[in-house]
Amino acid sequence: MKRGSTTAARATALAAVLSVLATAGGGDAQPRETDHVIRFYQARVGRDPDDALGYSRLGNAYVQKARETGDVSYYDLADQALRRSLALVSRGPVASSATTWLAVVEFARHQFRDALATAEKARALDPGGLAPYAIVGDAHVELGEYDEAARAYAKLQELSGPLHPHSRLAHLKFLMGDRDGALAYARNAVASARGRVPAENLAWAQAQLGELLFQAGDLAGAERAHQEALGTRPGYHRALAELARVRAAQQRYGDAVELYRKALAAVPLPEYAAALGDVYTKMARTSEARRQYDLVEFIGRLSALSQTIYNRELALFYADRDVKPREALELAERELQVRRDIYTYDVLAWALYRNGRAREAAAAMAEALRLGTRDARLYFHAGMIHAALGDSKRAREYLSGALAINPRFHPLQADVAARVLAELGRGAESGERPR
Amino acid sequence: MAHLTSRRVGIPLSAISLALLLLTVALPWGRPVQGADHREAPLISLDPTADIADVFAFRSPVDPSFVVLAMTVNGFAVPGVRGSYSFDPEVLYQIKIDNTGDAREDLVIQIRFAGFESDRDPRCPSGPGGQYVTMRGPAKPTKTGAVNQRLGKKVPEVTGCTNQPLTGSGRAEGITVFAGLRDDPFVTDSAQLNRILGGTEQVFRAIGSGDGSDLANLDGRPVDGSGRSGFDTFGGFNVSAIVVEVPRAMVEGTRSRLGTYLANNTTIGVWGTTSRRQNFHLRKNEDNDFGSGQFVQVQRMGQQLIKTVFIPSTERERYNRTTPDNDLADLGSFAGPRGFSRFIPDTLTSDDGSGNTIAARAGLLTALGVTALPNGAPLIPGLDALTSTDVNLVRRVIFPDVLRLDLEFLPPNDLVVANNGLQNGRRLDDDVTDILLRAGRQLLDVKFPDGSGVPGDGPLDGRRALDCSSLPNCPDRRVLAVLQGTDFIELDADVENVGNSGQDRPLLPGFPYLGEPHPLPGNPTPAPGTVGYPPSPGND
Repeated sequence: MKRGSTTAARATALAAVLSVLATAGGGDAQPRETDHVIRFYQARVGRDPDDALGYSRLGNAYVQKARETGDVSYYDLADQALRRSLALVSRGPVASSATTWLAVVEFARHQFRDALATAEKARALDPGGLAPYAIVGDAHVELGEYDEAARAYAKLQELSGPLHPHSRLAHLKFLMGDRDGALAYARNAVASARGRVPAENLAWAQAQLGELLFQAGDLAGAERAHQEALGTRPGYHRALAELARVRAAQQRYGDAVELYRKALAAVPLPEYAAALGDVYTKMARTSEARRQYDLVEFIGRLSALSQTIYNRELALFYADRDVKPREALELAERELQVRRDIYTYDVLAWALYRNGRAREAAAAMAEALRLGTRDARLYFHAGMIHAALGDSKRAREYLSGALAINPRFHPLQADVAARVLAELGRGAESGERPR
Repeated sequence: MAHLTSRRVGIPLSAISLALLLLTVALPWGRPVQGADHREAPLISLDPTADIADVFAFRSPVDPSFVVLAMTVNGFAVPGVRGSYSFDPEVLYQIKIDNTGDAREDLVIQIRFAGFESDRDPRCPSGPGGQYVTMRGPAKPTKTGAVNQRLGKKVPEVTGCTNQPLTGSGRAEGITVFAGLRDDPFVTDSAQLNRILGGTEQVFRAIGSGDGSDLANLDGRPVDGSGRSGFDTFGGFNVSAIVVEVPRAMVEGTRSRLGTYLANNTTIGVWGTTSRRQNFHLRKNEDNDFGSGQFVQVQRMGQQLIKTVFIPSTERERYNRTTPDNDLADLGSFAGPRGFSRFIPDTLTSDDGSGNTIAARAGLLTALGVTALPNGAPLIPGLDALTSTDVNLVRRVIFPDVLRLDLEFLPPNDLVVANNGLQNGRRLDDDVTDILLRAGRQLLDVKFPDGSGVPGDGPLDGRRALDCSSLPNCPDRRVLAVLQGTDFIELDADVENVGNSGQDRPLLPGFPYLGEPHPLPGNPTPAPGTVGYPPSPGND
């Protein structure tokens, strides 16, 4: 095998992809509001370095900038500003607010246990303040502690207007399998955000609605929601990528490619590269697919920080591609140390399946399905696992369940589901086990 | 499918170094490489459009037969993002007036909005403001208390767009309304106040060596070259303001209110509230109209700083949802849960039998050197000679939490602390922080350390006093906050005059009285006090 030239060729290809990213115009049709706020508070704390609230709001603005750009280094700046605030004032409502934002930073870095502890500290600093409950709830969700999450969010439910936790409740409802409830909350999130929050927050809510509609098989609705998100915030990477997913489901693969490329140019997330690779694969453009798959790993491994945030994505990627099964499993198990939600169990199950450990995979999959979440990917994994175990009946139920949610839930996996389903049908007649 | 292997055996060195070279060349390109996964819901922790910053009530300086009532929201509005500050169309903004002395509203002024500055109402397609304003009142409300309804149509009404004066006609003849962005008139060194309350500093301005060792050497802001030490934390910010000027006769009322908290028949009580519809029900469609027709109070405000200084965090939500007529419930009883008077310390008296008197406190403050510059503001004239045996005096000054505007009082007399509240009504340039600090340090009971030889060092014995049982770091930091009677923002020469708070931008001599908002960035000559920064290529 000509490993040397292959490696060199691959590196060249990588560099080519990266240089495309470097020169891409990239998402700067964004309004500059957050930049103004950052400059304003930077000037303020420059004039009065003892202004704890100024530092706290500067930290808040840096977090918003991190959200808008996808650039985690802004979380470092937020961290510094917030800690400076706490050094100036360590008690009372101002300290509670700064501490809550620190919890947000930790959460963004996937330090879920730390985020929970920090949010609890924020609560203690201002017992009448309710904002920390949002992060307490969020952390519990990622830790798989769904009852505790619901209790935390319930504290916010008496608040009206934009403080009402619509988006969080939408997500919880979806996890619990209450699709209609999730959609209603998501719509209310959009309505209550309009005109009242930064554009990116509104676009986020619109994209959340779009994703829920995709999961409900409503492609037209999802398309509308994501286009509204792009109207709110042109170049918003999440809406671009989700609209790409809709296009792929509509079998408009050329459009999907263009949208994924735009999303990657704005914020190069591994999941976008993986999704684009899958679309290229579907289009039989294998060398372009190869480049995207290489990029997934490159981004995923680039720094220690990336490896923390992208463990699960990378594990899922390897398992989806049916490569590096040992690494996939190792990554999934590592993720389970810090994150125990249903999607982590799902990736663990999928990785175990690829390692030929179908029985353990089924156990992990049962954990992933325990809330009754109606998610096509979960059903697909469950179907394949049960097929491997020879349980055709349940395999057929899950696979057809996935296709019933959305017949084109994935450009490649929907085909696999259909094929295996057909084989199971024939197998049921002949008594064979499918491969 | 071939996959990358970790087996390096056999790979020519040149290929490895080429790969590494390409890696290092590719890295520093300024594109965000480490992306967050962006699954987190945004944290929305503030509801600024319903968060009342201040309420004002004063006689028009232009024509004393008119009364000006104002309320501000959207505090800490950053000038550079002007277009993002709107009033909330879902909120019912109200200014409530009691002219009978029962702390319940006899009249209300209601203001509602349609559209957003960032998404204009079709009736305001261009011009200085994009929201459509509807003011109704002053009129008798159908429902008083914490749940309200909109006034009907047969009341004075003024409509128009934001950011410009609107004049009424017909029933609304004589009424002028403004709603829009203004310079925030509030002035306080809250950065330093937070540090005092938070325990990292002791007083507003350093005393003596400032090393914090004892009461003669307390840690605070240093005095700079120009002789100033204070910093206006609110300077440079805008705020959204509602200003309504009405003929005095429309609000004064004719019923006798003698014997009530409104000291005489020319005094009215004023407070502001924000309300939202009942928590909406889940809707299965995209309908934007949530909830029932009733509006539930989410915030209220009367006098300055009461919530911030006196109401504990765990009581704040209840305070926001209750009404002034409830404030004095259980007065004098500290077991009762209904009212809030138990959160105000006792007032000193003129003779308590142990020497812990108003006069003795004045003497202590003088002995500490904090009643003269540079270390403090002068005492309130004559207050040390007040003859009172009422430990509830300050509680009555503060509660019901309502501004008390005596329509006959003329400046400068209207800044005395009286049964009429902390000051007479509230004008835009009243130094309300200093007023509260000066009244507090002279009147509120403090428990000083046993045997320290200071009035107030006796046993607690049921006194509701601020805790200063150790010196110099009183456990209740509010004792230290009030000590100097000022936050030293204005020039020292102006400290004594509490009718001037040291605004960062000039107030206007006429309607709408609040100063022009800070300019957008890029303005080549920002006004003094504005935070200027480099021009941006495009405004939002």
